[in-house]
Amino acid sequence: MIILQATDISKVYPSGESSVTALNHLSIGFEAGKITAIVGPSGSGKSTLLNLLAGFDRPSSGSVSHQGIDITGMPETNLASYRLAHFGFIFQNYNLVSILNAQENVELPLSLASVPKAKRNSISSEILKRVGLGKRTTHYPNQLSGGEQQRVAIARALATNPSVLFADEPTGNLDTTTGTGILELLTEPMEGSQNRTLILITHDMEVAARANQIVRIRDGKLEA
Amino acid sequence: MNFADLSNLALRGLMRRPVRTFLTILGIVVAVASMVVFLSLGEGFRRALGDQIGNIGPDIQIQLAGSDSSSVFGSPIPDVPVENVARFETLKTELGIRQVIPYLLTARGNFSGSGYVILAYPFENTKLTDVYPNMKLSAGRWVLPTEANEKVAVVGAQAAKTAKLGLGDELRLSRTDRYKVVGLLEKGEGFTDSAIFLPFQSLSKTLAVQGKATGIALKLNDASDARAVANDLNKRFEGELKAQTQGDVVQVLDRAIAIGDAFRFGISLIALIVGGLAVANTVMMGVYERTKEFGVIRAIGAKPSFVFQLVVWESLLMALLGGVGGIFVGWLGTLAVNFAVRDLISVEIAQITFRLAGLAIGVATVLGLLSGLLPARTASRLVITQALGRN
Repeated sequence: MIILQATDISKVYPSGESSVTALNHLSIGFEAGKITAIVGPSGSGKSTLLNLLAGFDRPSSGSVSHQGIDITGMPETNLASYRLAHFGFIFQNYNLVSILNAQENVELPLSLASVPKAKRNSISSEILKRVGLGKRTTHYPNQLSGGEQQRVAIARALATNPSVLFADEPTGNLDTTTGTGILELLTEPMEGSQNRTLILITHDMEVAARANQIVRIRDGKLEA
Repeated sequence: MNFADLSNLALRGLMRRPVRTFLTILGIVVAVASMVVFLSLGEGFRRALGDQIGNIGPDIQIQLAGSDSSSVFGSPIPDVPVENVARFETLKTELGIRQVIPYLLTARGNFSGSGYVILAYPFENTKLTDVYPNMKLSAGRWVLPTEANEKVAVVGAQAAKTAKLGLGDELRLSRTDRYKVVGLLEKGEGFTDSAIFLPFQSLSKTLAVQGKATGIALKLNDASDARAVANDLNKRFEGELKAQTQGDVVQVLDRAIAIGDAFRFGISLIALIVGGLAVANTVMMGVYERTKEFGVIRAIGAKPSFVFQLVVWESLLMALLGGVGGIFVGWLGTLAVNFAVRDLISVEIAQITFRLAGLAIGVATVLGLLSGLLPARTASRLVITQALGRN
């Protein structure tokens, strides 16, 4: 079953007098519960595609729908709520909030969703245990290693139990051993969860090899 | 996100740069404190006016028409002909006037600490307690009716201190005129404390203003008739004399204080604007520094309005903390002002009232809101992909 569908999307950025086409009439569907790796050279349009799929940006033309709901034309406020409820994000640079400790970072999306404090605490403690940081909950990002920060980021992305998880080069800043650990962690929640879809961008073919589906992009188009 | 979580996040945001936040709050503290001290002077005057107005004594004061209306006690040079007393005496029954009292008023010294006021009444038919019911002697006696032409004095507690007068001492007003202190007053409140009371006739001769008075005070049988009687008198003596009630006096003083308040507020407004700009600058710098962080928060599902509220709340928190600190420092300032002038006048010239504290918090709130609006708007309109550096 297709959970996320991009239909004929294009993204054109103005560049001085001219313009740059980052995505060119691209259509792609993502199956529920599957891992999809998007690969391609730098500047091919991978990140632009992820921005559009995740609702960070809007396509110049075409549409993106999640579970049959078109998110392209949603007002910004509704789109923010939609992201909070259905999507999770993991970034290459972890992007933790520096003034919050590990547990508070994990609880951030839950507090945005107005989940009561007690429930937030129990969810975040449980997830941090699952990612192996049960004893590092009060540590701030600058007190954690890169691998640990990415584990916190994964915990944060999973906190709201999203149906789609987006990961942009999740192991890009990590050494091989740590990267492997992170990758296992990322793919692990998929087991037993038929509905969670993981869409990850990577340069690393070893990472891509763990996916159910590999999508190659070049010059803003899908490669045959 | 609930209010407690929002506040926690805003506080953490401010504590990210504690020195910068502290200095910004300090700026607000100074601005609000200066406003509080400036305006507390008006509040002190206003309260003293309320306390003292009963002690001014007369229900109605008569002065020459056209004399300086901003002067409560009349022209500095006695100019009201004393023969007018007889005209009011004839109206006693008709208008319910109990007592007609001409008085002379003059000031000696200045704010160097040696200043006092000299008030003279016709003691042959007037007791000081007729005019100031709460007045009490601490030593000596009152001026007797038989001493209307004698050089005797009753001295207020503060005036005794500043003029260095004790019972039996002499107050020298001219080369030849020395007044013997026959009574000392208990310490009270207000300007009567800084006054020396002399017989009217004697002071007239000393000042060479025989036949003139600074004003004529009227005591009524029913003080609540004051307005109507004053209106009647103003009609009867139009263009010649003017009658003012205590209410008029209060109004004139209140207007003068209000003008002073506006002037002082204008001065403190400059400090407030500078403080507001400091808050805006700090918050805006915070927004620029946290562009990526706001991008992350927005990406994971925060609405633009949440980011707006967060930034405005940070700005408000700084301004409110500055406001509360400003009231405290302002209060210390008023203590210092009152301490400095305690020996000059026996009125607490600077006072912080609930109204003033409320105004300070109100001004700080408006300041915080206005200072936070632009940074908040900027933060809430960040494009997620740009904030994250993703395009």
